[in-house]
Amino acid sequence: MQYISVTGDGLLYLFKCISLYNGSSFYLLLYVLLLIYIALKGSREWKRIFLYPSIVLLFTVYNPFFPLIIDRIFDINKEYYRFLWITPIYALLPAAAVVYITKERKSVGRMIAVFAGVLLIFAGLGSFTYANGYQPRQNAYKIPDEVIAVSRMIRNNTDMKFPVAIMDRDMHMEIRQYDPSILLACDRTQYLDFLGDAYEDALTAEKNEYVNRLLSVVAKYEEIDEDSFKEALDKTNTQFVVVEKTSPSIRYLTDCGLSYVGTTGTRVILKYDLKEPQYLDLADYSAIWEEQF
Amino acid sequence: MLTAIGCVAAVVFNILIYFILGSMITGRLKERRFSGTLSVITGFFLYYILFDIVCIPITLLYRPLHLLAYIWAGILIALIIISFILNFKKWRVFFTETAAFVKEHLPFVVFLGAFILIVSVVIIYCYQFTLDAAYYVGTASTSLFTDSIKIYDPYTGMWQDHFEMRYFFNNYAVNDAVMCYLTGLHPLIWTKTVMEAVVIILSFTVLYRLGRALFKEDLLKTGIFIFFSMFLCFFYSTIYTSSEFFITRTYEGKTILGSVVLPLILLVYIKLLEDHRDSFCWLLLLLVSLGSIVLSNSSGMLFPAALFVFMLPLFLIKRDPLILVKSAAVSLPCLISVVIYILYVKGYFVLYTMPR
Repeated sequence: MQYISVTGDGLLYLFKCISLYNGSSFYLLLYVLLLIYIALKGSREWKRIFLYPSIVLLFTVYNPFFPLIIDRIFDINKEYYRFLWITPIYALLPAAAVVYITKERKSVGRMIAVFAGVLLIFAGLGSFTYANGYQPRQNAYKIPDEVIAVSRMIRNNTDMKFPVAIMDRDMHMEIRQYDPSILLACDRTQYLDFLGDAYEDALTAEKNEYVNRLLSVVAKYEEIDEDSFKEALDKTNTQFVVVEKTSPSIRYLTDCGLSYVGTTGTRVILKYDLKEPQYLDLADYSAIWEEQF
Repeated sequence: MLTAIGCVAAVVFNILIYFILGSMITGRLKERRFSGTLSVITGFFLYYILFDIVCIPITLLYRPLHLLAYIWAGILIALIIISFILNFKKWRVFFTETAAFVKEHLPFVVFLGAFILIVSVVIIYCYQFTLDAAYYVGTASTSLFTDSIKIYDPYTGMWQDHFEMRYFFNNYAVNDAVMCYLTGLHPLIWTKTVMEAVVIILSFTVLYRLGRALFKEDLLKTGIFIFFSMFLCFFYSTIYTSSEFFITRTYEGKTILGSVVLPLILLVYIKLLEDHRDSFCWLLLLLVSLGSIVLSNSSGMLFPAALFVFMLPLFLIKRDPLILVKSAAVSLPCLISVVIYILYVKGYFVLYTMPR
C-alpha cells in the first residue's frame, strides 16, 4: 500500500486501506450482510462461529484508531492490510452458499440450478484473477526465457566469478533467482525507492550516490554527465548494464563507451571495461571454524 | 520429464514427512481417533519448528549450508525411524480405514483429488512475477550457491555485515535451500513448483477439516464448501488479498499465513467451542505459533491478533479465565519475535556475520 500512510491519512487510513484491499469486489459487503442476517435469524452456533469474532474484529482491526496505535510501535503503513486477512470471508461466504444450496437437497435439478445461481453471484461480485489473461510459464523455472539468455550472455562474456550488473526493474528482480552468481549493484528497496522518488536523508543519499547515478540512466533514462556515470560504474564494480531494447538510454550508454554483448527478445546487454576490476570472491570462514573447535 | 517426476516425488515426500512427524504427536492422543489430515497439518508446523531449532545455531556459528543439510537429513531419517516404530500399528489401521473410506465415498474422493489437481495445475503453470520473489527465491538461490546461511544479501549477492533480524527466525527459505541441496533441484523449481503444490495441498487439507467441522462431517456439504471457497479465491483478487497471494505468490511464507494458519485458527476455535479444555487444540495452537515465526515475520503481529479475535469470544462464551492465560501463552513466541525485532531496529543489538 504505497500510496497511503497512517501519518498522512490519519483516521481515514483504514477506510482507504479497506477500499484498496477490496478493489472492485463486493465480498466484504456480502460478508456484512450475512452477519446481519446471522444476528437476526442465525443459529446460536453460527453466531458463535462468525458473528462474535466479527464484532471483535469491528472493534480492533476495523477500528480506525487501531492502525494509529499500532503504527506507534512499528511501521505498518505498507502491511496493515494483512490484518484484514483475519476476516473469515473465505469461510462464511462459502458456508452460506452451502446452506442455501443444500436447502434444495430433495430435488437434484433445483439444487444444480441454485448452485449455478450462487456461482454466478459470486463471480459477479468479484473480479477474476486472470481477467487480463492467463500467462503460461515459458519454462520449468517459471521465469521468462530471456532471464536465462541474459544470464548466459553475461557468464560467457566475463572472466569474473561474480560479475556485477545493473538492469531494468523486472530483469533486476528475477535474474538472481535463476543465477545467483551475478551480483547486482543495488538492492530491491534502493531500486524501488529511487523509482518512487522516496525521500532520502543526507546519509542515505551519500551512501546511494553512485547507485543513484546508475539508476538515473537505467531506470529513468536520464543523461547525466558521462564521466560521472563511468565513475559510478567503476566505484560499484559494475561490468554489465541490461536495458530494454526500447530504452532511450542505449545511445547514451554506447557513447559512454559501453560495448554490445548481445540482445535477447526485448533486452540489450552492454559491457563496460572497468578501470580497476575487483575480482570478488566468497568470504573465507575456515579460520573462524578452526578457532571455534 | 525427469524434472516433473522429481517434482511429484518431492511433493509426495514433503506430505509424507509431515504425516510421519505429525504422527509422533497425533499418534499419542489417547482420547482422539488417529487422523491423517490432522497429522499432516501438525507435522508441517513441527517440521519447521525443528528445522529452526537446528538452523539457528548453525547460522550463528557461520557454518555452511551443506552442514545444515547433512544434519537435517540425519535428523529426518532418525525421526522417520522413531515415528515408524511408534506409529506403525496406528498407520496400518489408518490406511485400512482410509481404504474403506475411499471405497465408501469414492465420488467425493475423486472430486477432491481432481479439484486439487486442477487448481494446482492452473496455479503452477502460470507465470508469476512478484517483487518479493527476489527475497524468497533469492534467499534459497543465494544460500545454495554460496553454501552459506543468510550471510549474503539475497537481493544483490553482496556480503552482509550483519544478519537482517527481520528474517532471522524466518528460515522457510533456508529450508528451501537445504532441500535443493539434498534433491539437486533448482531453487526456482523447488519453490515455484514443489512448495506451491505443497501449500495448495495444505490449504485444501485445512479447508476440508473446516468444512467437516462446520457441517458435522457431511461430505456433500464439505465438498461444496471447498469448491466455493476455492472459487472465491480466484475471484477475490486485488494485490492485497490472501486469495491473490495464494494464487500468485503461493511459494511465499506469508501466503501460508493467509491460506493455512488463519483458517486453521478458525478451525481450532470451532473445536474449542465444543470443548475449550481440549489440550490437543491448545498444543496445536502453540505449534502453529512457533511454526509461523519460521514461515513469515508477519506472523509476529498477525498470529496474536487473529488469536485475540477468536479467543476473546471464546472466553466470553465459556467464562473460563484459563482461556486468556493459554491464549497469551501460545502467542508469546510470536510476541517475543516482535520484541527482538523492535530491539534490533532501535539499535539495542546486532548479530554480525563475522565475529568481532
